[in-house]
Amino acid sequence: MTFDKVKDVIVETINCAEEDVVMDADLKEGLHMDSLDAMEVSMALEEAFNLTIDEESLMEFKTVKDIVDYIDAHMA
Amino acid sequence: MESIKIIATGRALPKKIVSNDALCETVDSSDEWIRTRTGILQRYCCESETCLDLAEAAAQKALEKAGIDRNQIGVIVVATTTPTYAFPSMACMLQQRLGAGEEMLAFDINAACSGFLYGLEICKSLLHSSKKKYALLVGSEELSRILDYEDRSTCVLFGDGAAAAVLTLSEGIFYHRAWARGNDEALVCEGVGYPNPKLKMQGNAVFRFAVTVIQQAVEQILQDANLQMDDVDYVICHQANSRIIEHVRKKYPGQEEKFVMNIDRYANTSAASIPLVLDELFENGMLKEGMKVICVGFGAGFTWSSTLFSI
Ligand SMILES: CC(C)(COP(=O)(O)OP(=O)(O)OC[C@H]1O[C@@H](n2cnc3c(N)ncnc32)[C@H](O)[C@@H]1OP(=O)(O)O)[C@@H](O)C(=O)NCCC(=O)NCCS
Repeated sequence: MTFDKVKDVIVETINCAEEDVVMDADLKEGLHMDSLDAMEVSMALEEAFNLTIDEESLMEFKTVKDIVDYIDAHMA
Repeated sequence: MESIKIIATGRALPKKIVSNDALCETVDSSDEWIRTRTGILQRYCCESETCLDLAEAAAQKALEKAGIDRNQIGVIVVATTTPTYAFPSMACMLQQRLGAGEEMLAFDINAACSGFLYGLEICKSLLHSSKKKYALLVGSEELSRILDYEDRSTCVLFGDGAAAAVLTLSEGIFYHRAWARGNDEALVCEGVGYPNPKLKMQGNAVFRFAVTVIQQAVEQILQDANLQMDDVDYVICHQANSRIIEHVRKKYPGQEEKFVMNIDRYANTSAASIPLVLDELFENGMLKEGMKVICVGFGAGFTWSSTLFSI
């Protein structure tokens, strides 16, 4: 499932608590990600899912769900 | 194998220290933003000093510690992106200011933040065929001159400074790799003759580039040397942003403390950053004979380079 994999990537990249990574968690307010964390997470996701996340979409992600939806929409 | 030995190092900084708070009196930023995004707390900034003055002072210190005959210097290389003159080269001026003999190769190189590591390989190659015993390699920068203080995403990142190393050939371990990939969009500054050359950068692109190539460069040089991270005592990455170094060192669990950082005090000093770390490690007695060190440089060009050598 995309969510589980996304969760693993986020936990591993920013060292947050697993239980904080839920679908509607706010990346900035809930997970305390700054713009560099976001970039690091996006690089790790690109590697994990073997896709490219364009810069504009990255800026628009607000919640974990936004990431999951983007990946589901862009997976072959 | 033939290796290059660092006989002594020295550093020089401008008198003026600019804290984040002081910088933020005129730049729309904050100590908190700069600290958390970059690890930088302060930087040195030239007022009356020039890049050449810093290079000279750093070189004098290194030469005094080395105690060598200055007539035995066959090569002077200054790595810089902000030379005081387009010509004469800073290296030529050092020949005069340091009172070295005239028979030598003296020139500046521009490989941006990889300059010191490009310089190590150049010095090693040139010493190999030199009639003289020593090379002087200096990284010196006066980046404050090319910063756009209206651009908060770049002007908070850089600082001025210089560090020098006196080198000679000896038996030991020395592996070296260097790469170049032309790109004049991500990190660029116009050259001499342009009306107002300023550093321009796409921070995200440079961050991505940096974390990717550092890791590759470290792995490549370990592979060349047939060693593991366990065998290495220190990894000295170019000090561009602590977040870049933290990203890379996470890949080596349990060995994070090998990744040295001093960016908090100097910010990014481009070609001077790696020798500044080396000089501090020597000064604090942390580099001992036989230790193995990896250095990784990366920056504008793009250029990047890694070395693995023994002290
Ligand atoms: C420069 C760097 C720290 C910027 O971080 P970033 O997360 O990429 O920042 P962005 O440019 O995406 O900007 C994020 C936000 O911070 C703001 N910002 C940028 N610089 C700021 C500063 N000094 N103070 C306060 N806010 C700043 C931006 O305006 C932006 O705000 P917005 O989202 O409201 O528009 C980072 O990209 C970096 O370190 N890159 C590598 C640079 C480097 O090392 N270069 C030399 C290599 S040799």
